[in-house]
Amino acid sequence: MRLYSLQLVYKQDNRVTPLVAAHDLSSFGFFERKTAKEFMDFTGKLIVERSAPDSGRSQVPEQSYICHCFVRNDKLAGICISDSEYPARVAQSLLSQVLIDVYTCSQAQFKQLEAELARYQDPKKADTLSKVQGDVNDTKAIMTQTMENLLDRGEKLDDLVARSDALSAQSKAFYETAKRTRRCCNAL
Amino acid sequence: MTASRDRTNEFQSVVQLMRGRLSNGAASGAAASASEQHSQVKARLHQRSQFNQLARRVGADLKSTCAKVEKLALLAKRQSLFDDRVPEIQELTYIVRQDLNALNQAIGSLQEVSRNGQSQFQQQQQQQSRTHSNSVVLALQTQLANMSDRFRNVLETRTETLKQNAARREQFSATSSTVDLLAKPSLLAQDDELHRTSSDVAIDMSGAEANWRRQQQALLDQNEDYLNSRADTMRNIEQTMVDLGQIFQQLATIVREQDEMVQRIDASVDQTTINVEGAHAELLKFFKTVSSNRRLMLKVFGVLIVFFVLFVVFLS
Repeated sequence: MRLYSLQLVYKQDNRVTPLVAAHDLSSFGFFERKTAKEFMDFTGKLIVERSAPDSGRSQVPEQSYICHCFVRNDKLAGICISDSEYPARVAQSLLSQVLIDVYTCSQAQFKQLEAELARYQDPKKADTLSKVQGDVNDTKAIMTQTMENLLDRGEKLDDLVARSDALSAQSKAFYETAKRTRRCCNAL
Repeated sequence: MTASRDRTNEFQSVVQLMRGRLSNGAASGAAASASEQHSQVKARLHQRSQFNQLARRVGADLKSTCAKVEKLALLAKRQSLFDDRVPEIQELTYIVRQDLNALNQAIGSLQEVSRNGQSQFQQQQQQQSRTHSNSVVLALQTQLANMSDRFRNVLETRTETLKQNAARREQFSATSSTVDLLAKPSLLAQDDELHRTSSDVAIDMSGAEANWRRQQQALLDQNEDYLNSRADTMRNIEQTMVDLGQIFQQLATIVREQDEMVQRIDASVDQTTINVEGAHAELLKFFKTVSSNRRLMLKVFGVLIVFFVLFVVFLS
């Protein structure tokens, strides 16, 4: 489940000018990296060119990758290329987030894009919804385990109640016997 | 010269015919000033040509929808366990349904046109053309009815196949199968498929329209899908939290019940301690008694011996 690249482009009529791009090419061989990067950039640019200006979100599967594309109303568009297992919702929310951030910081965009890409490599931790869902699911699992432990405890407590009852009965019998022995067998 | 016939009238009627066929509604200046019969003929021809064009369009749409229904039938039949092309089938179904509705409306309007066009003119001249247009409309309607029947059969076979697939999947795999919702239909792939597999007669008009319609649907669907998936996730989280709350409450109840059990155990064990302590004390006392008896015995025995000695000394 990986992200391969994240690009921001500016779509104006039919021309597309790439603004910033970040790539994670560690899964390609050393000599393939350059061609892979060019290919990804080209594919992203092509897809944005071909999408209508108000098409919003779309996904284009291609071989074993999926290109998530988000074209906003103000002509900014983002493309995220991931493999086919990456959840589409997280990719789209990453694109929304990045496109919102573009307005806030203009200088250090590139570094931030790389950081975001690296952060979103693990969708469970980066996306808020996924994180919350993961936490809640873990908590539920732990609570189920706790309930099971509690039920075991209940069983053991039942067992203990029975045994302590038996113990107290036996000790009482013991006491009676001792008293009787003292009374009766005195003259031995 | 005298052998020549005056065919001006025929020529003029032919010209009217051609003009009516070529230009649909272009009322030339000459037609306005022509005689009433010519204007009647021209208007009639205009109606006829409009009707013809509409009928032709409806026929072309019908043919394309027929092809789509065939494709759907093929897809529905060839459902294997793992090659499930669910989104394609769903989209195709949706599009075919819309096409059927549009065709219905188009045939209705065609009927209206044919009825309106002929109510203005004299009846006996229009008898044949009226029967012709009626038979055309009837033919189109029967074709539409056949196609919708076939569509319904396809849907039924598809539900059958789905049921069989689900049964076989349960048989072969222990875990329940989940439909892969991640594979969304893409626009470019659909484009390719349409151009590859369509066998339409009128590719340009109806193909482009259906394609544009499909694209719009797919885009809207994808936009909605993103929001729907977010909404689903939220709902999941909320449900899990509610479950967690219930689990906590059950936990509290069970702990309170177990508290009572713990107190019973405590009481029993205390009782046991008391009993054992008491028994221990009794035994000690017993032991003391046993051990102290000897002392007493000694004393008693000593006194007895003294008495015995005295008795013996006294006697002797």
